[in-house]
Amino acid sequence: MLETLNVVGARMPLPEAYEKATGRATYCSTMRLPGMLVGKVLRSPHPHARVAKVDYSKAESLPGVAAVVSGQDVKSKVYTKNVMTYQLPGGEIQDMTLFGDRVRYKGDEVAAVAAVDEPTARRALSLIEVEYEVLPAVFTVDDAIAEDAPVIHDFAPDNTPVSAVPTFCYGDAAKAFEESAVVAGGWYTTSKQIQAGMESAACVADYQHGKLTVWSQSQLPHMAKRMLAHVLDLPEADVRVIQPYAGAGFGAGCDLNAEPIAAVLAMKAGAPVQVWYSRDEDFNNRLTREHVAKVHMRVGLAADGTPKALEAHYWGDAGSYMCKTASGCGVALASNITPYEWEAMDQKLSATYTNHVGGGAMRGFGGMQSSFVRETIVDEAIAQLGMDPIEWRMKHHRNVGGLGWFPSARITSCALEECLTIGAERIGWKEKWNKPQSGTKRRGVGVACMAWLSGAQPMLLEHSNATLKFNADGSATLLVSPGRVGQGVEGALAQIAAEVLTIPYERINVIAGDTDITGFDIGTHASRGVYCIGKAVLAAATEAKEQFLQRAAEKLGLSNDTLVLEDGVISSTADQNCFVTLEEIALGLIYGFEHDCNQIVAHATVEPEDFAPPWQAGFAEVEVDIETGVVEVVKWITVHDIGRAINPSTVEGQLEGATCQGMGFALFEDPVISLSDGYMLTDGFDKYKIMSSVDLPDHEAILVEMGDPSGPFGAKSVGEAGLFLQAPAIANAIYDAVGIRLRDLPMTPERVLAAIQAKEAGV
Amino acid sequence: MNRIPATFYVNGVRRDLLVDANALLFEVLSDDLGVSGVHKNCDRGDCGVCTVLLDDEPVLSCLMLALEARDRQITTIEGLAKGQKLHPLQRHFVEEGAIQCGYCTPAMILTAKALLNACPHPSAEDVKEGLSGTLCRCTGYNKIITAVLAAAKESE
Ligand code: FES
Ligand code: FES
Repeated sequence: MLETLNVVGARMPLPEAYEKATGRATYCSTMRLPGMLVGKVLRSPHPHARVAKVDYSKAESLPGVAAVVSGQDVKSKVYTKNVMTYQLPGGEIQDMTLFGDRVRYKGDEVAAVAAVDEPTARRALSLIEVEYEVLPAVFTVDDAIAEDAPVIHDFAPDNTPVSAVPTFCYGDAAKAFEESAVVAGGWYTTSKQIQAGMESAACVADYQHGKLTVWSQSQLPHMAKRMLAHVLDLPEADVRVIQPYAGAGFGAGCDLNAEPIAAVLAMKAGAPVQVWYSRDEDFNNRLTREHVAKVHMRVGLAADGTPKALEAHYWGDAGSYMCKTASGCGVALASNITPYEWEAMDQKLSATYTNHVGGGAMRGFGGMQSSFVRETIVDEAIAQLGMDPIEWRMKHHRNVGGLGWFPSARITSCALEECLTIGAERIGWKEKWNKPQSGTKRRGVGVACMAWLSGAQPMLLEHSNATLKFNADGSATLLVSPGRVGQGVEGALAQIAAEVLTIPYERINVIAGDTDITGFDIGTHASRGVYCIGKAVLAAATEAKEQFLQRAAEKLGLSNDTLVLEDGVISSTADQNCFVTLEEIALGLIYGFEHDCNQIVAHATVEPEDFAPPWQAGFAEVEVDIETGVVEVVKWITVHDIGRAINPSTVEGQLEGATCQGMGFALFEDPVISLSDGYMLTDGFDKYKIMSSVDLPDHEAILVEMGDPSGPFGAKSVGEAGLFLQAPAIANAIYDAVGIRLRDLPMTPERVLAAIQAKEAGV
Repeated sequence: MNRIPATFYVNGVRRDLLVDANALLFEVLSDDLGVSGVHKNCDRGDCGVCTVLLDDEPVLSCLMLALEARDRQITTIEGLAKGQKLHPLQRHFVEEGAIQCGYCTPAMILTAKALLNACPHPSAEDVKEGLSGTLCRCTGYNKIITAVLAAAKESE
């Protein structure tokens, strides 16, 4: 059992919840600055073409138009919207040019206008004359790797700049397969899920006196600032990124959207410009989930169940620009390592260009494609050996000290067995699993497991800054720089600081969302907020506490180590009557008249090194209608090894929300790309279904808190973890119900029915 | 274009404006009247985040012409709290952790308000049904449902 704390572990309301509940919260889309113009983007009608000429003179002279921009207005700089490129020493592939002379998908940016209102902006777009030399285009990996395929980027003549690169291999896989009693595997496909936050892509830019301010939904504001400075050819000091609240992130804020365009327009117009994508524009132009188009995987188990080998090839469909497709495949391979003790692993990745919208990042980056494929194949192999899937997982998962994602990473804690035990009990595994079913509606249960990460270490640049600045009343301002996407981390960080300083939660005022004010941070991704930024806050708060103790020691004429801090009061361990409050100290350091004023300001930079994986077991009970192929989820349970929940309510909220996204990925979120022009046909919520309250199955999230030695107060991560297991556990439950193995996502009624019929026909 | 004089009662306050005949209620609220709590996503009735109350009934402000709301009572999320005192629905949304990104929140709370007017003692199923017109990508709905049930209980 973990020790009970005062503020950490309490269900505190989030500081931003009041603004959001009253309609006072500002989002990029709700900003209305004086004189603000409407920006609109002219997009390519062709999936692949050379832009021979752009003439916008007619658009420019339309009354109400303040600025029109295209290639001639910008320096031709190679860049990428993927600002995480700065986290690798050599960077990632950069293959974009703002308003370049080549368009590579239907929707690519050609020009833009800023006008007094939307109708005028739209009219102006229609007056821009563009000459295109249309080029042949391809929309699938298989077509793009064909001999005579058109070349999409000149530097990659075979369209596959990342080709079968071996990644994270160890041991002798060939030998291990030979020694296996069962081998299962095959080809799998997964979908290009859409983040689909309720606020479409939006940003505002303003340029005054040589200084650019961009209001952005970015989850990585400091690196966004650096990329904006690069692409606009401005000194980094002249770019400021402000983050109002974002109407969700889920990875969509890991890449830039229209920020560079809004900036160029604002610079030319001399007025603030807002670009706010329409819903269909967002579906078609915002970078989607990293798209692992196809996966080939095999696993081998010994007769006693011992995991022998895992072999995989992850193949990404990058779309028109690489952004995060190759790195998404890499993360998928890395996250295959941790769950089980394979004797040997042999993995590789490829990424191929095609002519549709590029792949960015979505919550569960790479881990979705890892967990679906691995957990269903493992289930298949276990079934061939006639073993119980829970017992097998109990026995063969890696444990503390075992291999993390990367060769240098070692697991710091693991509560998977507790997760499995609790979930099995709760779903009624013993009574329900492997029970023969008859009739048209058949029930089954399934399980899946995973181990994720808490931060981008040790592979990527990973550090955070936190600053605590004390007011004269002993309250403090905490400066940090996470994404502001609704994940609730600002509240948890305040809880960590309040716990260390033994002051109430409300006395910590979190300031985030402005690169001119906050210290550097790599922002919100890799499920890093509470663990990584939390460690920086813990260090800053500890440093502040030291400063208070030092000052108290001077005031009381005692030495530091004879003092304790409790409930905001520093007292002598020897004499309780000898004390001073934090408030008194803080006051004296600001409004003191003894010529020793020295406001307490504590700052810490932390570069975490440990690999603290949250573990999880997911359990599904499903009912499959064998006449229609419809799969109904009767019950869903997530049991999550959080280490310690800083705010249990926020952690549950993360898991519950993720459950709905994971069910979408598993069953019905199905982006359809046209094979004639690469356009995303599912460009609205009427065609791209996300879970509504009436579609909601009975679902719950259970937390296991056993502490992690490296996390702040024992905490590990949650952000992404909640949506990995729906697809594999549901697939395994469908097998338990009707005996079919599904290898393509989403598992639509059509696919389920086809598989049932194929099984009946004995194919 | 012809601008037409029209009177709206927004959160109990009379507003006299000139509006375009084809202006949408969303545009008048957010652009002309500076109401920041009305949000918009799809522009065509699929998501519900633009919901406001018209004479206490939920309507989609992205699909309604402003002139249809002429001379009627419009309630936006700004109209719920009394000074610093939150409406019970707002308070329970805050306390239950039913708000993540918050972009759906104004619509959810207003829809819930209309639901509780019509059905003061709803079951969880009633709440699911009643809120089904507004999408939330963040919360998984559980905490929203709990918050609405708690607010209903409080007014018993
Ligand atoms: S904005 Fe989606 S329904 Fe109105
Ligand atoms: S809280 Fe983000 S959409 Fe509901």
